[in-house]
Amino acid sequence: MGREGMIEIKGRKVSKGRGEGEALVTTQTISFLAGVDPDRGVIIDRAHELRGQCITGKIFVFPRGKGSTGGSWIIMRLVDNNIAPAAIINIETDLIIAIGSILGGIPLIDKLDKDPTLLIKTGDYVIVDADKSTVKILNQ
Amino acid sequence: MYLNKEDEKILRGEQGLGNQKAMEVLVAIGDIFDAEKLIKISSSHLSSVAYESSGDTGISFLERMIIDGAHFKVLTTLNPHSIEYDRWKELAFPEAYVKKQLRNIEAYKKLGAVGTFTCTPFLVGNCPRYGEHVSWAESSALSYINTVIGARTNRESALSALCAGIIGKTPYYGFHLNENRKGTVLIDVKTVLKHSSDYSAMGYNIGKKVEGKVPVFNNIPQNVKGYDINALCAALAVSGAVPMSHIIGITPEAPTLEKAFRNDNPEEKITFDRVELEETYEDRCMKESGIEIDLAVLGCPHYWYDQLAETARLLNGKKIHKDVDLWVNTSSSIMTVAKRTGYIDIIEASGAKVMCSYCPAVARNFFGWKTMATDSTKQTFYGHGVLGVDVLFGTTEQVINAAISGKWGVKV
Repeated sequence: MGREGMIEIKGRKVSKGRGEGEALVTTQTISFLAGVDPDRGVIIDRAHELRGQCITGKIFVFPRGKGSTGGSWIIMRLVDNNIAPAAIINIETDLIIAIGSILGGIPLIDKLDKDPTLLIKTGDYVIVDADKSTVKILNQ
Repeated sequence: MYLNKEDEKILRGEQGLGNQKAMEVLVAIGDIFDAEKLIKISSSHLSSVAYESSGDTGISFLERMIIDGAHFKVLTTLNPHSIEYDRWKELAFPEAYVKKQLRNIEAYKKLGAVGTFTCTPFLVGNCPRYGEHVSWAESSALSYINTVIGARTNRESALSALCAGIIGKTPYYGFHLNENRKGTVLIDVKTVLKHSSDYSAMGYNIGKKVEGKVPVFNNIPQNVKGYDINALCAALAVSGAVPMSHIIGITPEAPTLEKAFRNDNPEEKITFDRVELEETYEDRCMKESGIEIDLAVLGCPHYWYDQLAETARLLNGKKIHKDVDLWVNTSSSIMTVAKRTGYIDIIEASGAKVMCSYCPAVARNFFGWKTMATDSTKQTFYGHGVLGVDVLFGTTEQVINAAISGKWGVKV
């Protein structure tokens, strides 16, 4: 792939829809309950490397969720408050993130051919088309 | 995951948007856990009925599901919530907050749920049979029916159980399958457990050591009370997310050790003796004897008849301290009969309140409480985390004595 080019990889659709935007990438798992502020869209988990970063409108790339199943409600509250991520990409998703994304209406893809937390860099422009099970990455 | 023609139709939206959303969730769960197919369930039980847990999003989500045509296909019962259902005015719950909670409840009713508002639905009409597949949230209740009845459920979240109730099916994986219900860790109980709180303490201690495993408790007396096992299950779930245990001679799938382990050797053996029991009581007390309390909570899980009778016996003719709220939690169904029997009048003559449909673990501290005494390790966990109070843990009698004297650990 050339610097000017674009890479397209296949994954598994978990939650339908299409979203695009700048990527925010972490190799750490995250608990949405007590980890993300549902009124600001900012990561508040003190121990997280992305603490203080806003996930609103981003393509949020992380391995999977963790913690209380109440985390699904936080994802849905972000959607209600119009401050949700544009899409989510996981290595392999879990019950909390999957349910929150489906019911909130956030496109979610996982099980890509390559590890998305290593392939995608924060700031890359990413197009997630869950209905086609594809992720397009445009390098900055 | 294999879907039959009917499932496919629902997934394509041919039975409305509400059913489609619920099916999408079940399919995603099935794919995540490599379930082979969906199986029919006979009931579901939902947590997060509390406005405190799901907020305005919970209300708008439920109301949207109604508009989108969703309706429960199987018996669906509900957990406790954030207010006292009948006496919120008398108890001074803020009206704006109450209205939100009532709107949340109204939506559940329109979806076809039954207003049990208890964490012990198996006592009040949602009682599955041995081997029956169900989809239950509420970690203490689902663990109880797996362990005592031999019904089959995974550790569902509020939303996964809700979707299963709407479709009437759940993905076939985890504790629905024979092989995953096999015991894996042996717990040798080497001390006599006298009180419900002893079972609660043991569950809290063991839960931390067996997360992801299926504990097998040996040497628990055959005449153990159902509410003692209820306390054990609740505590195991809080500290270790344990969805099922075996109790030798009690659990239908575990008449003997060999049956519990399916003739395999335990992966691990853990001993629970007097030392661990006493350590857990100490560990769950954040303050020393003599500290003043302003809240005493009994009924976590919601009290059974025998426990209300015992509470009445301990409070008979006594008065609780003027600066203490003693709240005894149970379901409306149990309350109705206990009142008819005379327990409630005796308890409330002391100044204590028997609360229906409520749980402090999913409520807000509107009353400025600072220090809580309780006979439940589950309540110590949420009391500290949700209500923000310092917690003290002891037997039912110790908690009642503290409510009478106003101080922890003082003889009355």
